[in-house]
Amino acid sequence: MSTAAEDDYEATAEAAAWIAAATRKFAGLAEMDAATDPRWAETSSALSALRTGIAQRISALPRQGKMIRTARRGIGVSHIALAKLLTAALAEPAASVAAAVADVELTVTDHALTAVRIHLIGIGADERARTYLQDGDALRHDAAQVLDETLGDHTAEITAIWDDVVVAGR
Amino acid sequence: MLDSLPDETLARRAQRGDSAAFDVLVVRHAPALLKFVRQTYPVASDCDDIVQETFIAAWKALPTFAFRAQFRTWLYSLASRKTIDALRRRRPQGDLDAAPEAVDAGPGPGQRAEYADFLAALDRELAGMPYPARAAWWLREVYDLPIAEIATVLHTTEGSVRGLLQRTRKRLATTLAEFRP
Repeated sequence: MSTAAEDDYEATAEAAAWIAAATRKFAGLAEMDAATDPRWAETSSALSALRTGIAQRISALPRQGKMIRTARRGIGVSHIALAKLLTAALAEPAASVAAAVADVELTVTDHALTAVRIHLIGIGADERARTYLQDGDALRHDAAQVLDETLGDHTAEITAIWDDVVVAGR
Repeated sequence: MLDSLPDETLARRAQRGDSAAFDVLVVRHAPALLKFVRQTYPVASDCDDIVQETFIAAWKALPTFAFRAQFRTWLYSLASRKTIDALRRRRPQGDLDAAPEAVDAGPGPGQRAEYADFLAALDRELAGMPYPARAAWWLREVYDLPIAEIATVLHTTEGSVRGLLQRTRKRLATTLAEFRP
């Protein structure tokens, strides 16, 4: 690259950095002015209206569940219902060991439940009465019991995963 | 508790129809998405609709979302598509590569003249550029998205994004030189 081309490149890079920094700074200032500037205050109400509009629209678009066979002929359970049921059933036992159920993932193959993954979040970093291994195992057993009662079968592989630990002040 | 969950977990729950989890995603991403659309689409009053359509499209497509991209990237990609669709509807005969209209000039009355003038000039310049150029510029320079993510959002290659950014930076460096302290 020639010296003139290098100078041009450097000048453009410097100017680009300045323009980007100024835009970010000014965008930040605009946000700080949100309380006093009606145009930006509108954004808050626009977001609120957006949220309501989206909630209304999606309520009319229900999800299609995957059907899971049970041990009883003629009875099936959708994966949506089963995930909700497991999440609700595990909420209390999880809370009793300072944890929360973030999600319950189900794998369904040919209408059969093959795997359950329980995503857990530990609440607080205080010393625990039992280990994460022991608490995870207890929750796996609770999940197996729910599967037994719902499907009449608990042969699906059940995995408990500690996704995160939420600590105070985070 | 939902508020503390990462996007991917909330998206998995929303895949199964958990509207509360989806609402958290809306609250988390709608403000930035609305700003992005307002910065790249000329009619402010249409931007709310574009963002709403983006989220509705996301809800419909979530069951097939395979998590190959980050949820945020995917959302920007949907918003970008919805914006391009809206631009096409505004100019059925037009060319997306020539966008002569001024984009909404950002902060209005009551703002300090110093940055109002700068932002107005910036918006004027960007408005004269093709949609991919201005979208890439905002996403890179202000939202700090990586080049690869911008390429996914704009359905193009990383090399193309680099080219767009280079040309946009050069043009802005010349046209906004008077504002430089």
